[in-house]
Amino acid sequence: MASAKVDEVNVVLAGVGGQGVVVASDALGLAAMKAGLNVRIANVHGLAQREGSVYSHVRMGSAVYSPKIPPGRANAVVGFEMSEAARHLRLLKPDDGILVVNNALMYPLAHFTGHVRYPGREDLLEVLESRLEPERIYVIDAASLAIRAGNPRTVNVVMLGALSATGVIPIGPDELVEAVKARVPKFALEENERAFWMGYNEVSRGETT
Amino acid sequence: MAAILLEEGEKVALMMGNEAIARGALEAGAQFVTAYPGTPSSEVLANLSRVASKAGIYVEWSTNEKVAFEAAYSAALAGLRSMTVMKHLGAHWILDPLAVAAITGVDAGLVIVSADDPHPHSSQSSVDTRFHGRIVNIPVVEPSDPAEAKDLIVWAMDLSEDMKTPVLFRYTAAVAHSKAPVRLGPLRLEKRKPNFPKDHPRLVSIAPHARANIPKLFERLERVEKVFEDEPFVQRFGPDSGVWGLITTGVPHNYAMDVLAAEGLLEKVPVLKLIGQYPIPEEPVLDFLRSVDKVVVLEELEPFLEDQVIRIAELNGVGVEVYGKNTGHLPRYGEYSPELVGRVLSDLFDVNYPALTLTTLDEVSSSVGRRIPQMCAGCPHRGSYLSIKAAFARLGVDGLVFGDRGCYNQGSNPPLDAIDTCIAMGSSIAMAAAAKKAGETRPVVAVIGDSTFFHGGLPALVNAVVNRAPIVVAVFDNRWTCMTGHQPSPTSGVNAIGDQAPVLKPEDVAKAFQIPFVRVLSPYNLKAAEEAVVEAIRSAESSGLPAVLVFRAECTLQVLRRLRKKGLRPRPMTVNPSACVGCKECIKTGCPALGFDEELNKAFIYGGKCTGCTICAQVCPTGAIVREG
Repeated sequence: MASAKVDEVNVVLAGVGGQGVVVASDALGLAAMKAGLNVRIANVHGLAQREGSVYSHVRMGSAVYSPKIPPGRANAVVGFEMSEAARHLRLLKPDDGILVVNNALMYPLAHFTGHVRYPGREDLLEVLESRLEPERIYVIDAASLAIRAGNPRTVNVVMLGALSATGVIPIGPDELVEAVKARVPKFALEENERAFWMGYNEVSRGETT
Repeated sequence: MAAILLEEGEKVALMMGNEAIARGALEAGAQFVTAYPGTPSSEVLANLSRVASKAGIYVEWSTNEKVAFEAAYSAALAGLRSMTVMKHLGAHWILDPLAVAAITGVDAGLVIVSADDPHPHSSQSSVDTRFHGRIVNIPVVEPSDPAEAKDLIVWAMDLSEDMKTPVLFRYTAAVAHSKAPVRLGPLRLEKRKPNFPKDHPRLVSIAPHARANIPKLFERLERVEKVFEDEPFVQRFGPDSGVWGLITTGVPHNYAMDVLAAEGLLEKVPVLKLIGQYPIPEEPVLDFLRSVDKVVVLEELEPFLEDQVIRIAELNGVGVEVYGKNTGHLPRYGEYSPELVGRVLSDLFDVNYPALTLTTLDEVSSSVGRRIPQMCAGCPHRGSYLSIKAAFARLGVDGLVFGDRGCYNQGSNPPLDAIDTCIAMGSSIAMAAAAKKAGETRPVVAVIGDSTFFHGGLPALVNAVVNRAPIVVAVFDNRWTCMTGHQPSPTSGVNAIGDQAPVLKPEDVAKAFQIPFVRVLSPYNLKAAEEAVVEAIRSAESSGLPAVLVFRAECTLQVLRRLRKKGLRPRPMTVNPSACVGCKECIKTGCPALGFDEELNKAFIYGGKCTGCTICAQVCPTGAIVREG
């Protein structure tokens, strides 16, 4: 496990309402705090239940002040949904920030009515892959893994597991999984733990596309 | 998470700003706490209400912010430490009694917590409520992060009680909704007995009494300024002097510290953080201005501190250059960010802040369109709006719909595009009635939710009746204050701590106001609802009085929550592809459970999102939407 002496590690978690972004950022923050790091979290979730974008900035380190991550300073963007990953890509460190992305694309209703046009899934994936070197992008089929873990609502924890396996965050996977269990409902501990390791193994075994 | 609010002993907890403020109330001896929900402030009382009984304190969701303030003020006069919480818009409602409370002073601590929304994320305007304290002459304080927010509630409460004045605690969305480690302090659970004073020369604030008491208000302010001269209300960081200095408050302080840290300037640039902002402590500000050549003032929204700093420099002949909003370097509107503060400080200090490196990644981000919020799948408001639109269509009129504040705002978004205004709490009825009185010939409908109806709609409805305004008032009664997180409304039948309360019915109010046409209906039966809207429009026109329709159905999220607890889920609808002709009528209802496959030219339904409300099936011209299984 990495030592607690890190200047600054910044992670953006982004998705749409109902995907569990805030729960995931709480778990990450709790684990970082337990590891002796200072923590700041900024949440935007005002329209979470109304199909809006939801995101969370998690900053960990010895000297972090602002809860928001300045552009170009995120070590990782974790996109629970592809268009939301793209929306926050500007925060990524241009040279070595990584993207962990769930390969789901959730169109807003306004896309179907023609009021806003979103790109197709393959096109968007192509754009993301064209901007980052292959070793900086991890594409996960989080929905399938969550279902295999026993609960489709565990996509957020699958993504945390995947993030953990990239080695970007200064927290060991066992510590992170404990923080997840402290934050999710008691009746769903087992499926969340399974979901975490499924995401973790997907990345550590190099099974991402 | 609420359990942490009553924990004792040495502990550091990861807390949201609003949660920290709730904890602060319990460490400050607040015994009487009131609020009306409003983003970004709602979680303060929501958290306190979960522990109120155990802590032995009184909490209430008040009918509106003015009532909330008056309740807390009354308790503070009676000797109980009190707090009232509201968003900035609500703080506008309290100015009248607040101005009097500033003159009478208080007997126990009274802290007014006002949450500003500079962006704004979820508000119709964005006013700097520090000026409310300035106008009525009470102390104004502001925290920069959750930990300081908790401590500052305690400091503000002590200050209020010591100085016998209400204190305005202003904070912003970025503090309210951010999380940080918070060191818990000792709980102070007061059990004071109320003793409301009979002090007529002070509390019967008729003009001669007010004239006698106003000077005392300014004496109190002078004493407060002395307190604000010292820590914790003023804090200094960095060296004793420098070429550049920063005067900061609120979350911009932390953006600035981040920039200074990244640039290795923490030891070079002196920083003066002002937690106590009004009255501004002249001595430490003057000392600071004399220690630098140039100073940047960082604060969100108005140049509240900046103007005072310029005045102090000017009156004392200090030749310091003051940079900020007056010089055009910083904006007077919008939420600040590390990016903005970084850019401005880099320009002024002539350093290259690393965050400014723009890359091709920006292009990708800016290519993604905004996710337009919709009303939830199965939301009853959808049917209400569709029936109003259908009634207008049937009558062949382009009617006007005056909207109000709540979830039903989302009805303004495409594809529903169902309301013509959205102004302030209760404005729908007043403006709709005025439209008719001004001579508008089209049918006019006012749409208002149940919580908003009781908050600000009642006086406007009385006004519409006595002035004979032939409008339709559609009350969307979904039993809760939903936009802000399902707080109890007067229609809920429970209060803040879960005790049973009478269920108030908008239709009973309408009947008591002698409105001749009052109808309660279900928003889920489109045909019947359309018919009722047509009848209401005709009744208003023939009677020359308002007609009231109460669209009643509980918020779907609340219904689903209860189902889930029982291990049940709703039976969703599904599209029969062979019957679907691809006309998109279902999609035009704006339900997020629907999607459309362009290749197949067929609609589809996300089974996991659909609540089975049947609205889409009712608008489908080919009967292609049926219940699953």
